Amino acid sequence: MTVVIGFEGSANKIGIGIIRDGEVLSNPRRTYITPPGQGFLPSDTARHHRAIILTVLKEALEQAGLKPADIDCVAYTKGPGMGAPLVTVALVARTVAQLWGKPLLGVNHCIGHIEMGRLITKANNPTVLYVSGGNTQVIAYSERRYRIFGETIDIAVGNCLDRFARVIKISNDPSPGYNIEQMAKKGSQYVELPYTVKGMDVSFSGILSYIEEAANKMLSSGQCTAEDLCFSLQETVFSMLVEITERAMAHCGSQEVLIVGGVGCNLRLQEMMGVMCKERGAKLFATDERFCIDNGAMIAQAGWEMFRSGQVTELEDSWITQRYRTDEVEVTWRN
Amino acid sequence: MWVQYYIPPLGAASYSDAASSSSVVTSGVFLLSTTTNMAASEGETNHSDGRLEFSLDVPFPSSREAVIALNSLSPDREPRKGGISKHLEVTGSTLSVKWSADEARILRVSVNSFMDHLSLVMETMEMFGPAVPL
Repeated sequence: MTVVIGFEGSANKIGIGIIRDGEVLSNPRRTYITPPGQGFLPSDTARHHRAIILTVLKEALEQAGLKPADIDCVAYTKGPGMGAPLVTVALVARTVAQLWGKPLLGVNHCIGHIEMGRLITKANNPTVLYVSGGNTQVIAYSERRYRIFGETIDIAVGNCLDRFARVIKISNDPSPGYNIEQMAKKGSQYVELPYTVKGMDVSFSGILSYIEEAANKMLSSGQCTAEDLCFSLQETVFSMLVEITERAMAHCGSQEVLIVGGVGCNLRLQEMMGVMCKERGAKLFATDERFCIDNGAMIAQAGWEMFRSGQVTELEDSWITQRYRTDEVEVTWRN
Repeated sequence: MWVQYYIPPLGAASYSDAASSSSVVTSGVFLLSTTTNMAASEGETNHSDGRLEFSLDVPFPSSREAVIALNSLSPDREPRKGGISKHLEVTGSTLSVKWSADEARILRVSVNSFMDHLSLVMETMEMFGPAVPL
């Protein structure tokens, strides 16, 4: 049996999870929630993580019913993400790895999402749509790499949604995306927005600028409601994502889609992707907010795979990095 | 000049370790020596390159803890490309850090963030130590 503890804190969530051979033993998490209209800044987020991380670590061990001696490897997020929060989490991971005499393993955050999605859904070799506040990528596995077939050329889809939520002062609790999703259900009028698919890639910054301006004009003049804008934004950006995912599937001859990342728990996105999959006779795999949204178990799971295939990270190589592409990692645990 | 520097909530005063209770740090005081080469300084040190220097000694209960702190704190490089350098080393049970910077502003940011990181590492040792025997 191999037990891996995973530390995640690359954005506004801090999570620590423990995995024993595919079984999630514990996965506590805290979210740094800012007031409506405000985003989370690196130093404030790091301060949040700093204040709570040792409590979360204690919880993770207690809920799993394990002692440090039962753990085989300490995994942490090496990147990508915001520098200050990444360092905070890495410091604790390095320190406990040394205190407990366990090997350390730096994990690519995106790989964590993919491996957690594969574990939970049992998808074998899916085309992956990774959508969150910081990343938007269509990924497929080939020859020991998770290869990026399409991605955003500017901001992430979740960033577009979050920033729109700030403009019209939607609450960030539990997350801006969740609240947009609930409001969108009450929208009835579709406001036409730019549709910006560029080959295999997508762009969201222009849509954001457009809807920011539209919101100011149309809401004050009563031409549409905030709910209509939420609805229209979701329909537009999700259609774009479904389109590039379908194109990647056609290219790879894939019959499976896996949606991961924070935006992946949006049920409307899952529904739209489901329609496309049904038309192609493909299967859709998705997870709920426990595993879609950043969490410690996903780092533990990717760490488990890496550790079992013989990888470890030496302390001197354990620096964090804000930029770390999915395709930089050699996938030593798959054929 | 020598400055006494206090780290209030999580400093060495509250740090104890069962493995070496005889050599607990007696107070939360770290000794810092700062030497600057600005015109107004006392001029006991004269650095030809005109850079600001700052050094910090952190006592630990044993060399094991000092080495753990060194290994936890040294992997990440300074966020900015130039204008500052930082060197960490352990002698006995003391972690020594030396900064050299072009501007006081850059130095302050680096030292501040180091203090934050150090206190987190020490608190982690306190809660999840003592270290297993090697």
